[in-house]
Amino acid sequence: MEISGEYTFKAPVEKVWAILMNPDALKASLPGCEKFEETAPDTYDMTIKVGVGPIKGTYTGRISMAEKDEPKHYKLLVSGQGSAGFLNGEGIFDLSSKGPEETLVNYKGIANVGGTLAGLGARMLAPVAKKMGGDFFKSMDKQLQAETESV
Amino acid sequence: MLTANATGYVGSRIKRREDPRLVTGNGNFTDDLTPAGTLYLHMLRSSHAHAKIVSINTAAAKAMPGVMAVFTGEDFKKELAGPIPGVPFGSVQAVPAYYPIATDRVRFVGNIVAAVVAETRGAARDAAEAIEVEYEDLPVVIDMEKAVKDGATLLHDEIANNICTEIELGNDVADTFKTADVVVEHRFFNQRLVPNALENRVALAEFHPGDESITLTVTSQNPHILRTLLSGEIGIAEHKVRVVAPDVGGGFGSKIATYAEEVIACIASRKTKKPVKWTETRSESFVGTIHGRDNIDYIRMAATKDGKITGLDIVAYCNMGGYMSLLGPSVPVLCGVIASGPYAIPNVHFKAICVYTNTTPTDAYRGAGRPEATYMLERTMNMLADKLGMDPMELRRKNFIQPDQFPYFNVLALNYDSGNYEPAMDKALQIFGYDEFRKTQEEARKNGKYIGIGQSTYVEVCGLGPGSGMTISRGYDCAVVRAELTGKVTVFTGVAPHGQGQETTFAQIVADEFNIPIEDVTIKHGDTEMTPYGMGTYGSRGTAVGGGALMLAVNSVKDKAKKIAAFQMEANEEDIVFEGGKFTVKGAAGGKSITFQEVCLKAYIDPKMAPVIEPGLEATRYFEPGNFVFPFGTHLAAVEVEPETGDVKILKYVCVDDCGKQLNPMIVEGQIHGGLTQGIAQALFEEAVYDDNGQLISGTLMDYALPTAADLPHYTLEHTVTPTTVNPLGVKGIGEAGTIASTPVIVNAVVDALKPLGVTDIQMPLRPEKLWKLIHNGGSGNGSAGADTSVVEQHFGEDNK
Repeated sequence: MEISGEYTFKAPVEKVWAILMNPDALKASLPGCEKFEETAPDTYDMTIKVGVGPIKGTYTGRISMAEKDEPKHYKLLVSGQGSAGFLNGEGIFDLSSKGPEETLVNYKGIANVGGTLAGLGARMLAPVAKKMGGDFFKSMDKQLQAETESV
Repeated sequence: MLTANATGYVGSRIKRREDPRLVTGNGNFTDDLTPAGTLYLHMLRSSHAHAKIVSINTAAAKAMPGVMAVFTGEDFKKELAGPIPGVPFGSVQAVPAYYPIATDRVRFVGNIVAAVVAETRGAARDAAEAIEVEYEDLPVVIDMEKAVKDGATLLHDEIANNICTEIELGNDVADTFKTADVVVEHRFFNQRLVPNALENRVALAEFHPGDESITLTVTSQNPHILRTLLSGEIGIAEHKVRVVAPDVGGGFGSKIATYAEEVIACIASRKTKKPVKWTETRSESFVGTIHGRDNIDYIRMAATKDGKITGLDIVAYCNMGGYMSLLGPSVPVLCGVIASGPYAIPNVHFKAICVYTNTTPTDAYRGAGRPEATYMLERTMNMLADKLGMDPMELRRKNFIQPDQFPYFNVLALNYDSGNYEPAMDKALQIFGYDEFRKTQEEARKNGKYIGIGQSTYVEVCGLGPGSGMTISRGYDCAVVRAELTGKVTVFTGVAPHGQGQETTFAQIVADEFNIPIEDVTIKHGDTEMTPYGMGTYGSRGTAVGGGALMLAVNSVKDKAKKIAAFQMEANEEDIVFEGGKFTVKGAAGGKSITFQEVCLKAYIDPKMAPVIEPGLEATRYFEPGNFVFPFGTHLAAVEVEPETGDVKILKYVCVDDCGKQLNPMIVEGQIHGGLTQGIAQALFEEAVYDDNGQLISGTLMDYALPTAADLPHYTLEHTVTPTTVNPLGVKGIGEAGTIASTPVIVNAVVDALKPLGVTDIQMPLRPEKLWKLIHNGGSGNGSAGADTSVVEQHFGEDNK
């Protein structure tokens, strides 16, 4: 399954980079995230609870960042499994400055799913993933705004 | 042979006696049974198609409330006497060890990696979720043709090229193809199907610590065979194993094999000393119960200019899945032996290559091999007809085995005992109005409509089976006929009906033979403690073989009854005649008589008979036919493809089947209706789709299209009767005929409908979007697997052209 999209932040690229690298922000942007622990540099173990129909259950997994080229580019690796199957994926994130207060993030990734997750795949997962991608950035953006305001 | 009797049950449309209880919720299915103290079993299944199991952590699961036991592969293996058996066939016979719980590696999505026993279903499920399994993914093998190439990833390290076996039948066809006037060739893909019986699989194991015996109540088509196999798997001797198949809600072949879950339930019950029940969910069934079909078939056919077929050559890749299911390679055998169908083809060669891939194991599914054979043959017949510019029916007529050629040896393996194909064809053509419909079609085409006619003239091999030739075991069945003291009759049969209606048809036979009301007859089945060794129900054998045993037992009871009647009437046994429910003495007109009921009473209580005749009135008989039976027929359909939506509308469907004598036409028709529906569904709807990672992406009933009544036409059914002498009833089996015949009929019809666009083949299933694209692309991009003829050539070598 391929996932791609873009999101525009109303913030300078350095700030966007910082928030995307912030473990607390990451945790807050993953819906149902119960545990998010750094186990090695740029590597986090996590537990996520999903409450949707047939993919309901607890999922455990790992997120790590690689190929970091601050503040332009990084790769996100995700692997997780739970009662409804597993998900392994990687995504490339490219940040580009569109102005002093505007940053465009392009993302492109591939996810492999197995088990019930795959059984539902073609029909359900692609639109869900797209929505989750959008929600993720919206949440990041919100946190960025909050940070800016508090400063 | 059957006796013509005043009761007249045989041949009548008697309503199924089993239905009132089944449709009013009074059936007795395995999941209806919950003995006191029952524990529940839940499987943790692999979501990975091919992976090493690096570690399994069950600590959290074991600590959860209500959990009684958690099993993983290595521990569980110690409890076993043997792995899940598969019956090998052919020249290679590579059977990998298939353990109920995977030990070090998983080979398909659905492979069991752990099992939890708990006090409630919910607790078992929750605990299974708490088991942590670490996998290391391995390359996934899905494509059969790639799987057999050197260097391909091996599923089982010891099995070269992933080849389970190779099966070769027939004679040398090389010269025939060199000298042929015309050759057609094609690659067909017979897609994988999911059986989807209405009742999922269920197993209830009850270990009895007192005598260390075990009872397994289970959804089985063949309880005796299962008992033997189970004994070898769990290490409890056969005489201490009882297998009971109560009401079973359909099987279509998917309940023949012995399965991991049954073994796990038995061992869990032995461990916990409590009843243990496992009930499959529909999602589990999609990955854990066997699948059917999944063949890639290369076929070429040689003929003379005037349409006489001279040769047939087939190379079939047959997907076995990740392990060998019980009869995995027997299915291609059943495909091969009947590959030339009803046609007199002098040179026929068949080769099957059975291949392991990272998919759910395959086994028999309604028709088992014969639908695959019939599909490629009947599609190729139409391709040849096109090439010769002949009508497809004319080509078939020209090549039929003629009535005076029976018994006919088909070069591959079989001796067809009887057949008369043209009358069935003529009847079908006449009912369908074939010639007139061709004119209708022509007119419709002028108006831009896509209307087509499809045909299939099939012969099937069923009534499995004789204990010789291509079979793996003796093929008999048994019956006990017990005339009770009060004149009622109890029958115990070794077949295990689960929708076929033998509680009715067998009672019809018994009632007629003894001239008693059908209400006085009970048919019992499905319990190894109740019946002698029977082979069960599959391969359209229930009535052809089990009915044969019933007739023999009925006759033995009659013989003894005559002896008793002779004693009672002080006459010679040879002079006793049984007619109209009464025993009389031959030639003694208006003399003494004694009823069947009186004989029954005397048999059990008359002290005068004590020194002369053994008490009781019952017989146990086995029947093993000398040959298979060969039902046949002609099916025709007219379809219209709607260009705006790509939908296929079946305008009419006519079939004329010959299953020999019909004991109950209503049940015959019911079997045909179900068969047609499943066959049509393969043509139009059903497909188990794996992605490149070995994930079943059509694994729910939302994604896997089962047919509904709204998708199907009215069926027009007719028949001819060509009796067989292979069994005492003259019957030939009808359970699979509809499935075998109907798939190519529909595809032939749709291809014919789109012929003006230059379409020659469309890969099944013919879903609307596929047809819509074809119509809107002017016939190209049809998804046909045969477009690349060079690939076909590779499979038949240099002598091709």
